[in-house]
Amino acid sequence: MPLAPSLREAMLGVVPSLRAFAMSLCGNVDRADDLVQETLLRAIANINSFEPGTNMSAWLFTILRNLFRSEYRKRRREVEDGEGRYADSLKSHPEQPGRVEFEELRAALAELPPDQREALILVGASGFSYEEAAAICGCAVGTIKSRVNRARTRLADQLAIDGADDFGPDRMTRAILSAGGRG
Amino acid sequence: MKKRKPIPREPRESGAVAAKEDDGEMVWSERRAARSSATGPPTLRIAVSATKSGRSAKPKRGRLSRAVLATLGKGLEDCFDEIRKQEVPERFKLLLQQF
Repeated sequence: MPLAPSLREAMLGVVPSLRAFAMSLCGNVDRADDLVQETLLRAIANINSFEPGTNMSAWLFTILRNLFRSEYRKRRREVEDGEGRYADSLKSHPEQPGRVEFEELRAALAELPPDQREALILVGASGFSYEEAAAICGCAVGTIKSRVNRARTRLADQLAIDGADDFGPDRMTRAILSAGGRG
Repeated sequence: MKKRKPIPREPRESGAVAAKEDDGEMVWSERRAARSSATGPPTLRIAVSATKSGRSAKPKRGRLSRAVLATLGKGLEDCFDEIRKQEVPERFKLLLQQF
């Protein structure tokens, strides 16, 4: 049965966010893309279970997350390895001074417990509400809130963030400008 | 049946049990705190009191400020935007076109 064009477009529109989420789970671009592909196939196979007009993004995220948990965990390739391979996979050579802080954030994210990292990414980076994130993760809203709060607190402590100016790609620039370092 | 006789208190540690020989009979006595029986065992109460008074201060759990939350949120979004802004790989477009 052919996929309705509107559904096809909706799925394609979610792919970038799906890839980002898959990356946070897998820590590897190739594995993340494989996971996304598997998600799309599963979604297409079960398209009749999707209610038009409901949140396609949340539906696809749920499928992806469940796929990851059921299949990839079995292979014991989860991110929480003690050797830091996940963290290493996220690192890249800093080309700009501000990029170092992104790497610090990624490294700090990698050190979060998986449940907290997942919750924080869904709410803080992917833009889902607490209720939607709870539905995706299959837990109570309070649980999601608790995980997100703990993750944020942990990140803030680890990155020593006390205010708006303590982090960000322009911190160095602002520091230079405020010190009259303009040439 | 041996009869217990009250023995004057001796300065001992709380809850200590003393035995004295009185007319050839061992008489046991327990040091009792000068409080009503409703207050419970003195040893336990003291332990509880000591715990309460000497409790190590737990780190204050305060909410993160809006500025910190905003900073974190912006940082997270920027991190993920690097992937989100990438062009959708051809494999996914081809996949969806097949159905």
